[in-house]
Amino acid sequence: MTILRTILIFLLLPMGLSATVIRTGPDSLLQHALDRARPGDTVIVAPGHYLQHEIVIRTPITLIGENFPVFDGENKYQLFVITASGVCVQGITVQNTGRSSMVDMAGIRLQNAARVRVSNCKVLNTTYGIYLQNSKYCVIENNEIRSSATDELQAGNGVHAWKSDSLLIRDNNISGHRDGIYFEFVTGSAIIGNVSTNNVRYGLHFMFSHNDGYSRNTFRHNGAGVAVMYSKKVIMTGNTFSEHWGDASYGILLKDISDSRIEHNTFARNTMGVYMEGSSRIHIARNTFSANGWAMRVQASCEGNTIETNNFLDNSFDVATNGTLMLNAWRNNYWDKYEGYDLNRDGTGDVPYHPVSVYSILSERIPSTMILYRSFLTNIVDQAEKIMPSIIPDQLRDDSPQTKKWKL
Amino acid sequence: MKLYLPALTLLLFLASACGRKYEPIAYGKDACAHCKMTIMDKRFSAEIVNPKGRVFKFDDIACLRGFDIEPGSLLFVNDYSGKAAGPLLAEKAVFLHHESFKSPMAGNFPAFADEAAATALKDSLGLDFLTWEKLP
Repeated sequence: MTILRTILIFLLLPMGLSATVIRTGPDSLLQHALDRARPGDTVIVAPGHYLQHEIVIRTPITLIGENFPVFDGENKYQLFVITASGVCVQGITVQNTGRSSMVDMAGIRLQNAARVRVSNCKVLNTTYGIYLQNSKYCVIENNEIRSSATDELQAGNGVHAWKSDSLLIRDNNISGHRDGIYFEFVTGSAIIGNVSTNNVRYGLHFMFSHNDGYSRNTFRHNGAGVAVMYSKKVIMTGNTFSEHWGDASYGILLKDISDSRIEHNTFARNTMGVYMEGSSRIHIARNTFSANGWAMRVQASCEGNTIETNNFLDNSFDVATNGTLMLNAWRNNYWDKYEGYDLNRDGTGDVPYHPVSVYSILSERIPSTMILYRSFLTNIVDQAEKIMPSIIPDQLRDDSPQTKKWKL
Repeated sequence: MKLYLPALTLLLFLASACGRKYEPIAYGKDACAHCKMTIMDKRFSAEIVNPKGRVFKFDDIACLRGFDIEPGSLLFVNDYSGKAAGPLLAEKAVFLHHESFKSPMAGNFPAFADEAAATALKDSLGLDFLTWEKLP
């Protein structure tokens, strides 16, 4: 034990000797302190209001704010640019970046950097909150990233990552941007435990980003929850998608996705829970779809997907599709609209369930027929169609619907 | 009487053909007809009005190009600089192409009303002017 301690002390000693602590306040220029600092130093920023901008961190240092010193861009400038690897920034407030159509103005920008950690910061009223460009092994955690995208056309994204790899975006609170988190050409990254609300377009948005995952996030009241587009191998587990209402509003929008997993998520009160188009080999299991307009909308361009052991509760429509061809497997789901029976009491219904109702087909072809939805006539047509399917795609059926709700 | 009907149809046809025009995009609400994304960026949005007058809106010129365009459709693109009074006809606009424009669907084709409007950007990025036919 003592040997271990001695080794530890010896390991830490050189660092303790060489690293110095630099203190700076609102009266002096932070840039000077940063330029003076040697690698491994710590710069402590005193509380106050700093009208300093375009602060570039070129050496691997630790920047700590005491009691959230405020860096203000006066709606004209961008604030921090980190170009060195191994930088750690924590406990500062950056606010009011400028807006420009050519330069993406960011509160904190990481440029060609690796192993950078931005934690416990407040990023307020910025065009782009935290912008990662060509960066690797970076951690963005516990930040409060808030803006009010009133001029929604010019708004940027809360956390914006472009051409990056191995990022961890964790436990941030993001609201009021165009997209809460945006990934373009980002690989091998994880998005965990964030709360993304009230963003104008998407809570989270993937473009051309492979081998990523997002778990335990909450997406609420965005234009749409999450859009995953043109990506492969994306793992989506344990998230909550709620309150996404509108014409082009989805819990998850999947467009040209393959080899992915959607498991243990909750979709509640969205216009559409999951919308998928051109997507293949996706495993959708153990999710709860409750009180959505459409729980799932699976276009005929999707194939090889497996939808099993989900709960479908109180949705206006369980499934909608736009064709008769169905190349996906549906099994062992619980459907609250199932009216079959289970004579041998094994928990599996004895007659198949057809989740596509006549009305979802009709409204797909002629949207204005929705005006007759829930009318007496509609119910009769629905009942008749259940006995003798003629309009609904009869290949789309669950042969083993569950009679008891899954405990998820 | 015999002549009335064809004349009337012709008149109606002409009227409908003349009536075809750009329909404003509700940014933040309308979805792209090709990629289903909500259209947010004024600088890259585009629109097709087909011969029957049906309107398709796009968030990126690349989406418009990926769409099945009926012959005889009107193709509109928006001015990247935002200085033009209205949308531009795609065949008459001047285009650039560079990765740093970062359009929503990575088409990265900004459109300009004329060569003068695009010259500064063209020179600073070292690009060539492109026309609608020559887009990659």
